[in-house]
Amino acid sequence: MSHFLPALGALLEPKIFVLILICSFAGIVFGAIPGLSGGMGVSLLLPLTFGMDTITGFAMMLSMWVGGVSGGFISATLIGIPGAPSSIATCYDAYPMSQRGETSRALSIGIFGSFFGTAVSIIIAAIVCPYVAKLAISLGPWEYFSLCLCALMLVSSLSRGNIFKALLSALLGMFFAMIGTSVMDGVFRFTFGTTYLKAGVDMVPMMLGTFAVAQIAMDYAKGRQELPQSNAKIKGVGLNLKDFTQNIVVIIKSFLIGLWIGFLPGMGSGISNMIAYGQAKSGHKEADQFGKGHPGGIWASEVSNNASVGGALIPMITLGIPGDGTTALLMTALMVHGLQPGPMFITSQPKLVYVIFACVLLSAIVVVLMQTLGIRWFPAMLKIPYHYLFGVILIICIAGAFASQNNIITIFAAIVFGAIGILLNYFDLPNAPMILTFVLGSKIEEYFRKGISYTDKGIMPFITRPVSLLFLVLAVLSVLWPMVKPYIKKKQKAE
Amino acid sequence: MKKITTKDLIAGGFFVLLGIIILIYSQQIVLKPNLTEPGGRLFPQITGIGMIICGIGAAFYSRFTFKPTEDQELFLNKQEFLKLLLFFGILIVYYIAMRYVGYLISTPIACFALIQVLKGKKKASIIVSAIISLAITAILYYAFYYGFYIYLPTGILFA
Repeated sequence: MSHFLPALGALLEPKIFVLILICSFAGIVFGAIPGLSGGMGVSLLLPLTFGMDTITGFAMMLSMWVGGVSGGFISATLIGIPGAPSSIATCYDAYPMSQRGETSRALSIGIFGSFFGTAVSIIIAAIVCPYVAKLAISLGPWEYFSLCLCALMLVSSLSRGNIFKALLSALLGMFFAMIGTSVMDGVFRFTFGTTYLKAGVDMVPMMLGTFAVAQIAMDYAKGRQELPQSNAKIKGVGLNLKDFTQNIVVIIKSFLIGLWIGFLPGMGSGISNMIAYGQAKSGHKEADQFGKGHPGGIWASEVSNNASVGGALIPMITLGIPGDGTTALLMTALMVHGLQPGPMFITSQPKLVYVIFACVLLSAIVVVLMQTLGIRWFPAMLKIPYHYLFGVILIICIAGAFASQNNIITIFAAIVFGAIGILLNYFDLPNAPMILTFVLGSKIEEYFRKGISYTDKGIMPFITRPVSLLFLVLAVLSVLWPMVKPYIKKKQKAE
Repeated sequence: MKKITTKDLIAGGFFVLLGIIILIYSQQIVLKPNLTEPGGRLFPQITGIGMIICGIGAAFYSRFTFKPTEDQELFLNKQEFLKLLLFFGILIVYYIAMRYVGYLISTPIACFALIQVLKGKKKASIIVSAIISLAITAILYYAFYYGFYIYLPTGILFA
C-alpha cells in the first residue's frame, strides 16, 4: 500500500491521465474491431514510447491492453464475430442473447465481467508478486535456464496441431535472437558482413511486421476487410443483481481459471475464455441452455479472459518471463528503457512495479465507465471504414518501425517480418512460440553458458539441482505428451 | 488413408535446409581461446540440429498421427496472391521513396495508395482519402518531431 498510493498519484497527473483515457478508448476500439486487437495496439504504441519517460509509456500501453482485452465482447455481442481471440467463447451466448432482443443485458454482462476479471486479478497480482519474487531470488542460472526452457516447451506444446511446427517456430525465434553480437563473448554471429545486423534484430519491426503488417496483408488478400453491421437497439444497462448472484459460482470458477492460465507462459486470454466456457457449461444445471443466450456463458468467457491480464503480469514482473504475446511486448518496452524484469525488479523498481498494477486497475475503472456510459454508441464503433483505419495503421507501423532505431533499414525489416508472418501462416506455424523465444532467446543462452561457467561440473547442476530438474522434466513431458497422446487414445479405443 | 500433405513437406524441407545452412554457418563463428563455457557456437548448432529434426518431424507428422487427413484449403488463389504482391509492392515502393524523397513527400502518397487499395470494391471518396492521408502525415510528423524528438527521414535527395 505504501507504494500503491504514490503510484496511483503519479498516474493521476493530468497529462498521464488524459493519455490513459485516450489509450483506453483506443484499446476498446481495437478490441471491438475484428482483425485488430489490443496486442496490435500495444505494438503500435511501443515505438512511440521510446522518447517518453517509462511511467507515461507504460501507462499508455497498459491502458491500451486493458481496453483491448475488454473490448472484444462488443462485436461478439453485436455481430457474432469476436473482436479478438479472447472473446471467441463470448459469441456463443452473447450473440443469441442479443438476437432475442436483450442486447443491453448481454453487453452489460460483458462490461462488468471484464471489469471484475481485470480488477480482482490485478489486486491478486499485486499481493502475490512480492512473494513470488522472494522465492525467485533464491534461484540460480541453472533454474532460470530450465524455467525458460520449460516455458517455451509449454508454449510450443499447447499450440494447436503439429507439435514439430510449434517447435520450428520457437527455433526460428531462437535463430533471430542469435543474430548480432553473442551475449557473453561478444563475437558476431549471422551478420553476413553487414553492419546493420551487428546490433541484432530489433524487436519493434519484428513485432510490427508479424502482428500488424502480416495480419492486414492477409485480410486484404483474402478480401476480409468488410464487416457485417449491427442493427441492435440498445436501451439502458439491462442488467440486474440476479444476473450476478445466480452466476456467482461460474464467475469465481472462471476467474480462477483465467488467473491460472494467464500465469502460465504463453497461455493468455485467447485460451482461458474457451476453457472457462467449457468448465462453466459442463458443471452447470442449465447446460442445455448454453449456446442459446445463457448469461453464465458470457460471464465465464469475459471474466476469465480479463483475469488473464493480472495472471500474465505475475511471471513477467517476478521471473522476467512473459505470460503471453502482449506481455512479451511490455517486457520489450521495459528492456528498451534499460530495465530488466525479474526477481530483483520489484525491489529495484518498486515505484514502476506498482505503477503497472495501479495503471491496470485505473484503466479497468476507466474502461468500465466508458463502456457503461457509451453503451448505446457501440454499434457506431463497427462502422469505421476499414480502408481508412487500416491505411492509417500501416503508416503508423512504418513510422514506428523507423522510430525504433532512427534508421530507415528498420522499415525494410518490418516489411520483411510481415512477409515472414505470412510464410508462417502458410506453413501453419503458430507465431507465439517464435515471439516468446525471440524475447527470451538471449536470456536462455546466457543462463546456460553462465550455469556451465559457474562450476566445473559441466551440465550436471542442471540435473542435480531439484528445482531445475523439475522444470526440465516438465519441459520434456510437455513436448512428449502431444506425441504420445494419439497412441494412448488409439490404444484406449482399441480396448 | 493417412497421407503426407504437400504443405507439410514444403515446410519441413524449408526448415531442414535452413537448419543445414545454420549448421554450416555456425562453423564460421569465432571461438575465443580459454573459454570456461561452450562459447557462441553451441546455440546456433543446437538450433540448426533442432530445425533439421523438427523439419523432418513436421514433414511426416501427419503420417503418424491418428487424425483423418483433412482436405487442404488453398492458401491463396492466383488473384489473392496478386493482391498480396500489390500490397507488399506498395510498401517496398514506399520504403524506397522514403529513402530518396523523405517522409513528408512519400507518406501522403503511400497512405492514399494504401487506402485506395484496401477499399477493395467499396467506394472511398478521393477527397476524404487525400485529407486523411495529409492529416495523418502531418499529425505523425509533429508528434514525432515535437513530442518524441524523433526526426523522420528527409530523404537522400533533400538531405
